[in-house]
Amino acid sequence: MNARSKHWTHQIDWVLLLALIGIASIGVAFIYSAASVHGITDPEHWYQHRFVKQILACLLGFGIAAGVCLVDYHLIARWSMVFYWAAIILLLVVLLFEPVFGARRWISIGPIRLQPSEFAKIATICALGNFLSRPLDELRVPSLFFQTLGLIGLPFCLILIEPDLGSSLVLIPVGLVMMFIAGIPRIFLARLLTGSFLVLVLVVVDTLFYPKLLPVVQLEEYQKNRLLVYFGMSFAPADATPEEKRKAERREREITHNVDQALISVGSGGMTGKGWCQGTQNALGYLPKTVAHNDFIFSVIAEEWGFLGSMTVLLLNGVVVIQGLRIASQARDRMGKVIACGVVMLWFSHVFINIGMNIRLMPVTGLPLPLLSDGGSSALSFLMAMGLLQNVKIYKRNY
Amino acid sequence: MKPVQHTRREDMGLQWLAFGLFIGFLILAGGLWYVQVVSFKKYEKYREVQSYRTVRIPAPRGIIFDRNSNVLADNEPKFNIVAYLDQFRKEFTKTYYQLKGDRKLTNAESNRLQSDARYLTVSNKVHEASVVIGLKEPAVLDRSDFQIHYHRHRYMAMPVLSGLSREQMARFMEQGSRLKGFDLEVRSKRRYPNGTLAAHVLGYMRPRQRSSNEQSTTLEMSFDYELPDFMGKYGLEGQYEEELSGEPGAKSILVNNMVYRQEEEIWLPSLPGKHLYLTLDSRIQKAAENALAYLDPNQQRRGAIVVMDCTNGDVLALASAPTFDPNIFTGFLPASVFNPMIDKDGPLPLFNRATYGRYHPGSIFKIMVGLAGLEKGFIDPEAEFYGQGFYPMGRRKIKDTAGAGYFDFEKAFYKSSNAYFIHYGLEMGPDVIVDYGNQIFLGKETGLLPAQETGGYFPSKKSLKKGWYDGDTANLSIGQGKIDVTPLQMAVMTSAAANGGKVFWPRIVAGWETTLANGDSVFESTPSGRIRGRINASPQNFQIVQNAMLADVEKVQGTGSACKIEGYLIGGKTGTAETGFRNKDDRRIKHTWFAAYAPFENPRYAVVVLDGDGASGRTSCAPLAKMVFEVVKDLPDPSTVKPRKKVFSQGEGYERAL
Repeated sequence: MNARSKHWTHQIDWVLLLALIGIASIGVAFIYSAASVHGITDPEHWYQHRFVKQILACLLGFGIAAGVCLVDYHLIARWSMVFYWAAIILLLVVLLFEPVFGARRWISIGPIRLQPSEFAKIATICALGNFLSRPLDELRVPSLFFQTLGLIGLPFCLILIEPDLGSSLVLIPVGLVMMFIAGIPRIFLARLLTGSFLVLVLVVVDTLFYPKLLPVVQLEEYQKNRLLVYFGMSFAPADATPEEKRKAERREREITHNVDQALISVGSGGMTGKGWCQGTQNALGYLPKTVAHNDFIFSVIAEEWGFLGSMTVLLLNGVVVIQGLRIASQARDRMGKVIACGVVMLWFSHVFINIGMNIRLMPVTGLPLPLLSDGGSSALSFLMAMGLLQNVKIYKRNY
Repeated sequence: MKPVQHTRREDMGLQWLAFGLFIGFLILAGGLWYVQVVSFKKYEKYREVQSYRTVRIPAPRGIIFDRNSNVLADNEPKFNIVAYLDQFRKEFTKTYYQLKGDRKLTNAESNRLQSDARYLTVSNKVHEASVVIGLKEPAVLDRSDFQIHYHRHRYMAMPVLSGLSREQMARFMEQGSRLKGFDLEVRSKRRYPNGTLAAHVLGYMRPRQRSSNEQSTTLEMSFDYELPDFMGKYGLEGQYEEELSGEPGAKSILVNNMVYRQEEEIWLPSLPGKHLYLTLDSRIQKAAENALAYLDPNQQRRGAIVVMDCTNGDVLALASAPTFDPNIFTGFLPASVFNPMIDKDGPLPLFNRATYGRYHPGSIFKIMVGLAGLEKGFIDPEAEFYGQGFYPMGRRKIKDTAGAGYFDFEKAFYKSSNAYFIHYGLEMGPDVIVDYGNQIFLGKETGLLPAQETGGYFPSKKSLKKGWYDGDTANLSIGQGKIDVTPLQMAVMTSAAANGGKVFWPRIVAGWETTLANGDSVFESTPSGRIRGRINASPQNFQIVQNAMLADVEKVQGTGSACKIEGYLIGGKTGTAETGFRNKDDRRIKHTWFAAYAPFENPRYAVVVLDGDGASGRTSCAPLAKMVFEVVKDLPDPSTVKPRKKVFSQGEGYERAL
């Protein structure tokens, strides 16, 4: 059976596409809802609104995804190292830009702002897929394992120093899953897993209990605070003066406030929610307006559509993940399978961490919810990733 | 795992992955179930708490009337123009973009610009509004006021132009449609239509402090916003704050996510305050205050006049000098006005000398000493006593303005012979005098104005046993030394002397009128003529003292002759007490008194005049009492206090407007 022998419409994963259109539509609708409250900096004209930008980004994203499908992923994989290094250069360039909200995450070209870390994730997945598709015997060589680690470690570190802890950490599960699926010996992975777990524990314990003892692990102030809030710890060191304690308490309340408000939003939605655009927490006088439409968009959905709405979002994402896994299982080679799993894991990690932070399962990290959070770069990169997935499906039998 | 059912054996990894992801979704679904369904009520409650703002609505304050339903204190409407900030949101954005132009802004710059844009928009609008209503100088919106209001209470309309005249109001009504976002608001302001009249009794009001918990209402809630309100701080306004102020209502404002008002609901209507009826008679009060004003053209002299109904203890006038206008406390009160009022070296106009001032009674206490001596048999009214013109008390001579000569009781009384009363005082001993002082409750408060009353000082029986000398008894016999009284206490004494011994609880609150929900009102009067005690003396002895008091006014040589009114018989007694202090002119300060009652045949009015720095009771006080009697003699007898027929209140109906 030749791919060309079948009509192209049969090769498209319609279930996946419909799920994606569904998610993107919900995203646009709730970005509209979250931004429909009139603040002073609201744009003067309707076409300047966020949701319009989001629609454009999604349309562009679907277009790019279609474009990605035109070329066999093997060709893409062959060029993957070029993309990878291009992404690394962009990650270096971004460090030259003015920090916005204390982080250097955006490259501004005229009116367009790009977030290279979003694209770096995709490039890393492609590069890893290509790198790990070599014969299984080679994968057993320890030096190759370390090369793989290096491949993940470079973007990881660059994103970490932006700083964008969430986006860099998300590379870890993605990398692990790809290595696991590719067939890197379990023993290596077990060691890696134990190692990263230990590092994580070290970072957390250091931050929580011995902030001054081990200056090796230096987290940004806000990252540390988010961790402290997540673990319900006091900000003030034990030997703080009353004045310091008072200030620390204030800061604590500020940060806890966001988390609490998101939780109240989600919780007050109940079973059916208050209806679209009817949320009172929404875009919050209470949720900080800078995050309501992106990082905390889920709390807006959960408040206005209730538990049924949250389940709809979860279900649609479940469909994406299932279709992704199905594509992975039917891929013609290990490369396709590994890339598909990487994409699925990236998607799932974002969903899990973002929704988790809305209900306080996870600490607050600035990870967007795929296609729902406001943000052109994120929407583009996720749709690009979906294109990659679709590509793996289209070319599965094209021997 | 359906999606992986066809996979080959080496796809175990994929199965594990699918399983892991499935668990992940289950965790999220479980978490969401717990938060949104199980804990829904808890979070719903949190949300409600933070999307409502509770606003305190002051209740219309009760009106204070005199016994004839003349208004002493009421509320006047005050019209303000308020701005609803949410109506300007589109303009805020417009101004912001105009100011911004093509510039690129950092976050901080943008915030500053937003703040500028808001202030600029509203202040331009206010300017426009002030031109429309015809202000000569366009109003300027205070930036910090605006900022505070915007950041804390933007769900409330912000008052921008206050105290509109009728003309300005009319212009606003006519052209108001041009002013989008502005509205007229009515607030109530306390008014004392008669200015200084009964100022010390009424007291004054000050702006209510937000944190003040003095008001013990049934509302155990905290308000996010309190509509401006005043609370009674002094006098009856202060003492009956709770009754007069009623209970504040509350409305909840649902705010949207920009904290602007979405909708509001008055869920607890305010309960109007009760109207207060006093026993005071404005006409007599005015006469008393006019008399006091006569003391000193500069209105600095300290004095007091109390007029009491001898038959029941109702206070008909309670005046204190110098006085003040309570109206100034409800407006802006500059420190340059207020500070001199509380300057300890100044005349202290806020001080109610009728109830809070302590003075030696001087010779008016001879009324009691005389009654005691007569009743206990020490004084034979016919017997003559030779006075030397002074009384030798050890090495000291107590002076006697009555001069030397023979005195029977009446002559001794109307010429106010110190020698005579000291002689008999020493004969009867301090115990008898203290007994009689106790019978009129000297040293104890009358309970008329609890927050601003003193009981004065009167020796107890116990204090006579130790450290008490004949000199003290001699002083006490002529109302000097160890005795301090208030003019109010002396009015009670004078009433009792006039009415044959009934010592009343004085009364100033005649009753309360409560407006019911259906518009009817209920009047509850306070008991009148409550007897506190009696002076132990026979009617004959009262007659003797009363005759002596009559002689004091009617006889030409009587010390009170300056009070004589042709065709109106008055009984009275003067008093002049040394204080041992000197005033600014280095003259000895004397407390001078005149205690009188009339008509003699059928006593009704007891009048006590105190001049805190007079020459003598004869010259400074008796003429003032006469001025009061000139007024009361033409008045019909005071009747029982009844509330007005028609409920008339400018305060009512505000609630709807607010």
